[in-house]
Amino acid sequence: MLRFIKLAIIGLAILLTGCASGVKYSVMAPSIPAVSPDQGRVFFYRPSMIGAAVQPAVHMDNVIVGDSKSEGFFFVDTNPGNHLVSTATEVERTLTFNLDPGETKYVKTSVSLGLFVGHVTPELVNPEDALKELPDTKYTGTPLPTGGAATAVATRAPAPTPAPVAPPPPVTVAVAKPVEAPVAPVVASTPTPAPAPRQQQYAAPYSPSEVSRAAPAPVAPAPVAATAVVASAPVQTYSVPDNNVVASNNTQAYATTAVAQQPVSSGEFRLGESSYTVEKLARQSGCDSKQGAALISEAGPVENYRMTCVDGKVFVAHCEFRQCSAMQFQ
Amino acid sequence: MRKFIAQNLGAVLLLILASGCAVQQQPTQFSPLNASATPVRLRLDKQVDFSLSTGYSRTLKSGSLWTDIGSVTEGEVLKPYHGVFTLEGSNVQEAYLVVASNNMLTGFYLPYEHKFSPIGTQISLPLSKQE
Repeated sequence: MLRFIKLAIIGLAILLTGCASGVKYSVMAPSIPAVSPDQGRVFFYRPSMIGAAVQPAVHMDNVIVGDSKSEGFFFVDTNPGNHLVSTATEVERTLTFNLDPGETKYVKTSVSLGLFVGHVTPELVNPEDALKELPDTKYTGTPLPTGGAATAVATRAPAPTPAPVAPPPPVTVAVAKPVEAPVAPVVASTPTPAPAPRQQQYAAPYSPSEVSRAAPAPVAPAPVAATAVVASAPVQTYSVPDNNVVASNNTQAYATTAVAQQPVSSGEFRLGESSYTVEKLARQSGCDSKQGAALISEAGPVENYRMTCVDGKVFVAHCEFRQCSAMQFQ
Repeated sequence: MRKFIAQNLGAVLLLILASGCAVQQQPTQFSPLNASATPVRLRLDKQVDFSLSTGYSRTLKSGSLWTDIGSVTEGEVLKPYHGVFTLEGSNVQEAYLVVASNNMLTGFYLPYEHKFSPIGTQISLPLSKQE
């Protein structure tokens, strides 16, 4: 009996691991800004808890825009036109679609059985169906508002009902940012004096077209060549009822911020299981190195690598289940 | 026998992993509707069910609206109005209906790939012009 209880607890822990824990869509929806008429918006969501431990990165047009997390959602603003969304575990699944100006499309990801790891498949969903499933999903943080997109701040307050608050004061957001592309979901980091009120930040829709290079940041805590992006756009604030768990992991991702903040011993060079893959990836991008790709995170299913090219540039990659993609190359 | 299985296990696993038929595609030329032209909106009067060559089935809902956005050589291209339609094989692709002049569904236009995917057996669609 005791063994059964232990197994049940372990099973429950596995089930719950990786579930999204951000602000619910139903709470956040009033604060989500309308999509710009010259852009389109894509919501990504995963309503099911099945396969919660499987959380592959979601790529849009070969750029990581977020993670497929159980009961999670995020959204991305992008240029109208054709787009390709892909997720990969042991196999890659793709979805192709066309986005009109001002249009919002909904991409649902779901897990199906695989040989060793579940397969995560993105599919396009009718808006009416998506809007029935979205309210219970939670915001999983995302891509960074590089280039001036708005950054929203969710403040946990004892207000009983969600209430969008205005007016939004300008905010300066310092971000260690992968520049080379509309890369990873980077989370804006402002100094958060702990405990209360607990504060959660999430980035506004990511716009690949708006990504711009910025000057190097003077305060990058890690050897990753980071840049500071100043977003002076308005901040939206809304209240989150107490019963909403606002955890910090919804603002986490394998953002460059996170990579940059990882403790990396400058004297230690560690190879990881995906070092070779990352080196190949780097070479394809024109980065050769004598030393190779160093593992800069903990070894495991999700890893980050850094490689210094012979010309001094730095190549940073993110790997999940040995599926690697470039995060930064500059 | 056991040796044979052991030797071919990798290939079998790979086959299972890669399983899932791809959607058939062929080149086509899409001509969008003239910008000055008023797009025609059509209504499906009755639900239509059919299977794709990949084994997946699809349902076109009764009352669903479709906008004529142009044509390919195989027929008029109808895009779902306030909805989405996809083909599914090993991957998922957004698709628009391609309907010949006699309201026969001849296949699908894939906007991302700019290709035409023929349907195995043509189906008559009960379409009426939406006023």
